[in-house]
Amino acid sequence: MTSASRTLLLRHRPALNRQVSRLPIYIGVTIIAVLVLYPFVFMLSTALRESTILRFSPWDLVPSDVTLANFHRLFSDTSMLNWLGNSMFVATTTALLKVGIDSLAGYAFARLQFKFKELIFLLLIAAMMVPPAVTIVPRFLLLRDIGLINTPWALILPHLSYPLGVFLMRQAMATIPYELEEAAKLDGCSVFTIYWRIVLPLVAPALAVVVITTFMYQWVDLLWPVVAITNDGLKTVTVGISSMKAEQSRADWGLIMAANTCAMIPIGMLFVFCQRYFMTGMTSGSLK
Amino acid sequence: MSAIDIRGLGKHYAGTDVLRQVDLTIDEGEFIVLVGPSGCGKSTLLRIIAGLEDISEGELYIGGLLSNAVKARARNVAMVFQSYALYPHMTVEENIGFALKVAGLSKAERHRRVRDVARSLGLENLLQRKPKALSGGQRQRVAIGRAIVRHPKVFLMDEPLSNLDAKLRVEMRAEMRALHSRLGVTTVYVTHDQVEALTLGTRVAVLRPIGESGNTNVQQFATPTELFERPHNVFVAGFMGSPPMNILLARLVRRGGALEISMGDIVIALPQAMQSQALADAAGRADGYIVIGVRPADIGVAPPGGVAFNTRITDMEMLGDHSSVSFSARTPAVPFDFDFTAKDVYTSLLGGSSLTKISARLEGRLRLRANDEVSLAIDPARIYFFDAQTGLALGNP
Amino acid sequence: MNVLSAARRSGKAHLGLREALLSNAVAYLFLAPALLFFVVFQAGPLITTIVLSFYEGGILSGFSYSGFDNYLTLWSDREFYQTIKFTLLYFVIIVPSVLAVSLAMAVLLNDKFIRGKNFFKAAIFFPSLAPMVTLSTLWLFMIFPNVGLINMLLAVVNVREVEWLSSPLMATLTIVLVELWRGVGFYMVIFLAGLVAIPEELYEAAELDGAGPIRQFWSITLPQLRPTITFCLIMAVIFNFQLFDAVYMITGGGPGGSTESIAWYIFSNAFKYDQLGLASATSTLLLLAVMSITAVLLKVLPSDR
Repeated sequence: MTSASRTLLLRHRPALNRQVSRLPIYIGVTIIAVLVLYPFVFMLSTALRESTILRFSPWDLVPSDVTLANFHRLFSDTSMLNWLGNSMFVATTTALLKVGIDSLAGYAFARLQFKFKELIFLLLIAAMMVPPAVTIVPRFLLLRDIGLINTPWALILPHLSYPLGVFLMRQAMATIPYELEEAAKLDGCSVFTIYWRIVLPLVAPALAVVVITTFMYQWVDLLWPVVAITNDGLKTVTVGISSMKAEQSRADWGLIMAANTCAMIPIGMLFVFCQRYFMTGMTSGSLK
Repeated sequence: MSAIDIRGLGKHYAGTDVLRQVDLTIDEGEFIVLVGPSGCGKSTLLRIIAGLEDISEGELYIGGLLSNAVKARARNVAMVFQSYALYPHMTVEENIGFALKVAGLSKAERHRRVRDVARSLGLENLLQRKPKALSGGQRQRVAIGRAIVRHPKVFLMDEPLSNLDAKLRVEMRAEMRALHSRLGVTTVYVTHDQVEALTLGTRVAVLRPIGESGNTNVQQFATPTELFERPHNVFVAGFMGSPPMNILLARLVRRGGALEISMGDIVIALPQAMQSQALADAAGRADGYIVIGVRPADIGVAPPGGVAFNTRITDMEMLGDHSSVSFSARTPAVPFDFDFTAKDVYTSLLGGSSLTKISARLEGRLRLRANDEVSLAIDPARIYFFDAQTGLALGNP
Repeated sequence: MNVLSAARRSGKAHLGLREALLSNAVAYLFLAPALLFFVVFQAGPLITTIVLSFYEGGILSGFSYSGFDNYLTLWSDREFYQTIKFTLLYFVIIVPSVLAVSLAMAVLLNDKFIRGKNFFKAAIFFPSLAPMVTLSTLWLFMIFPNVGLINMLLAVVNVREVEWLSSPLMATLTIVLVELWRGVGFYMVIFLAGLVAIPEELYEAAELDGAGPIRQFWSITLPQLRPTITFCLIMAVIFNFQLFDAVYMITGGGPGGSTESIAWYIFSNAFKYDQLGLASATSTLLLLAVMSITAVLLKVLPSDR
C-alpha cells in the first residue's frame, strides 16, 4: 500500500465510523418516515386500481392494473368537480384578498404613526389565541342575516379577520432599512407609492408565505365550511369528502381514496415547490 | 437670493436639544461642508434640510421659499445616503431612473437622461446589474447618479465616502470636486473627517454638540483657509488640522517691557510687534493664564543664534522627508472640546502633575533618537492665543 | 445621537397638529380593511358570544333572556361532564406525547453528520399539511378490520382484532394517534429551527468538559430551547382546544359520547339541537379556559434563555 492511499484511508475512516455509529438513528428515522408516508402511498395505490378491498394485502402497494376508473366514477357520480372548483375559488380568493389587507395593515404597524397603535396591536395578538369555535355562533347568525350562508363568501370573508398575516407582514417590513424609504421620499414618492413600489417588492417572500398559508388553511378547513355550507353543489372538498363517507354505508374505498387524492393534489404541489415558505411562516412566530 | 437660508433653527427630541439657534446662509452653487464630532447635530441638520426631520423652531428657506412645512418629496432636493440606500430590487438603470418615473417622465426621456448620467459616471456597462452585484465604489456612483439625474436644486450628502477604503476615498474626493464644478449645484455635505471638510468645501461649518457648547452648535462658518488660519475658538482650532494642534495652558509674563510665554520650563519671548492690546490685557489679569495653540509644523529645529529652548525628545517617528517628534512641557494640556461655558480651566486643569506631550513635525532628514537633547524653536508669529476663560481667539495671526 | 436615533425609530415626528391629523388619517386608511374585518368577524362576534350566553334558545325557538341558566344547565349536564373528562384525558396524553416525540425527532435529525436530513424532515412534516379529513379517512382505513396495516402489524406480535372504536379509551387513543401523526412534523420543524440557533461552541465546550450526548441534552439543549418549548406548548394547548375534525370524521363523538371534544359539543348543540344560547355559554367557558391557561403558561414558563 502506498503512503498516499494509506493517508486517504485514514482520513476516510473517521467519517465512515461516524456514519456507522449513526446507523440506529437512520433506522429509527427511516421507520418513522415510512410509517408516516405509507398511508399516502396506500391511498394513491387504492385510488388507481379496481376497487374490491378484500382482495389485496397492505403490502401490495403497486397495482398491476392501473386504472382511472375510480376517478371516472368520482367525477360522474359525485359533485367532486364542483367541490374542487369551490375550494379553489374560496382558497385563492381568500389568499389574494388577505395578502392585500394584511400587507397594508402590516405596513401601518411597521412604519406609520397613529393613535391607539399599541392598543390595537395588543387586541390583535389576543385575538390570535381565540379558537374559531368560540365565535362560530354569532358568525353564523351574522352571515345568515346578510344572506351569505351557502355562498362562497361565507367562507372567504370571516377568514380575512385572522390577524396572523398582519404580524408576518409587520415583522418582514420592520427589517427594511429606513434609509430606503427616505430615499424614496426624496425621489418624490407618497406614502402609498413607497408601500407599493419599494416595500412590497422587498417583502415578496413574506407575501408568498401569507398567500400559501392562507390557501392551505382554507383548503383543509372543515368545521366552519360544515356549518356555513349545506348545499351539495357549494361544498368544499373537505366537506364533500366527509359527506361521502357518511352517505355510503358499505364504504367504496376506491372512490373515497380517489377523492382524497384529489384533495391532496394542490397540497402536494405546494409542498414540492414552496416548502420553505410554510416552514418560514411557522417558525417566524417562534423566533421573535 | 441665497440657495438655503437657515434662521434661528432649533431641534429637540424628548426635551433634549440637538440643534439650537443655528443660522446659516448658503449661496447658490456653494459646496458647504458640515463637520463635527458625532452627536454635533450635523446629520440632523442635513435631514432637516431634506425634509426628513421636522423643525422644532426657527425657519428654513430653500430658494427663498419658507420650507418648514414643505414635504420632502416637494422640495426638489436629492440626497446621497451613507449606506447609499439603493433599492435592492431594482437594476442600476431603474435605481437612477426611479425619481423620473415617479415624476411621470416618458420612457424615452427617462432612458436618455439615465444614459447621460451613467456615461458621465462610467456606469454604462453596469446598467442592468442589481446593487448586490456592484462594488462599494460602483454603488457610490449609482447613488450619486440617482441624485444628479433629477437636476435638483440642492444636493445633500451624508458621509458618502465613509464606507470606502482610504485610497478610493481620495479618488472620490477629486471626483466630487470635478462633479461640483461641472454641475454647479448647491451642495451640503456632512462628514466627521476634517480632511474631507478642508479639501472639499468652499465653506465649512464646524459644529459641536449642544450639551458642551452653550448657545449654538455652529462654532465657525468660513472658508477652509480661514478656519485653518483664524479659528474662532479652541474647539475649531483643535478640530481642524492633522496632526492636531498642540493646545496648552500657558502664562503670559511681563518681563521688563516685553511679554513672555511661559510653559513650565519652556519660555518664549514675544517680539514687540505682536504685543497687541488683547495680549497686554490678558497678561495684566490676575495670574496671566492664557491658552495657546501651536501646530506641529510650526515648531522647528532652532537656527543657530535664534530664540530657542532646549528639550529632550521622548518619542520620535521617522516619516521619510520629515519626522514626528514629541517632547514634554510642564504645563497642562487643554482638550480641544473643553467646555469653557460649564467649567473653568484653573480648577479643572491645574493642580496635580501636568506633563503635556507636545508633538512637532520637523522637516528634513534628521538623525534623532529618543532621549536626545535638542534645541527647538517656535515661530512666535504662528502661535494662536485664546482667552483662558472663554476659549475665544485673541487677536490671532 | 442615541436620543436622536431612538426618537427616529419610535417615529415621533411632530409636524404640527394638521400634519399629525393627516398622518393619523393615512395610517388608518392603511389599517381600514383589516380593522373592518377584525371588528365584524372577530371582536363583534366575541362580544356577541358572551351576550348570547345569557340567552336561551336558538334560530327556531327564538332567544329569551335567561340569566345564568345556560351555565347552570352546563353545570348539571352529564354530556358536558363527559366532554370535560374527554378533554382532560386527551390533553394529558396528546400534549406531552406530541411535544416529546417531535422534540426527539428534531434532536435526532439535528445531528450534523446525518445525511439526507432534508428528505426526512420533509417526509415527517408532510402530514401536517394534509386535510384532517384525509388523515382521518386514511387512519380509518389503516385500522380497518382484517386488511388494515395496523392490525396486520399487531398480528405479528400476536395481538388480534383490536376493537379500535368500541371502548372510550381506545377511541380516545385512536384520535390521539391521528393527531400525533399530523402534529409531530409540525412541532419538529419548529424545534429544529430552535436547535439550529443554539451556538455550536456550547457543545464543543461541553465536549471538552467531558459531557456525553445525554448530559449535553439535559444541560445545554433543553435549557437553550426553553423559549421554543414554551412557544410549542402554548401552540399545542391552543390547537388542541380546537379539536373537531378527527372527532367528526372518526368517532362522531362516540362511543356513548365519550369522545366529544369541546368544539364538537359547541357544534352539535348549536347546529344539531338549535341550542345556540347553550353553545354560546360553552364558547365563553372555552374562551376563559384558553385565555387563563395561556396566561398561566406565559407567567410560569420563562421565555428567555
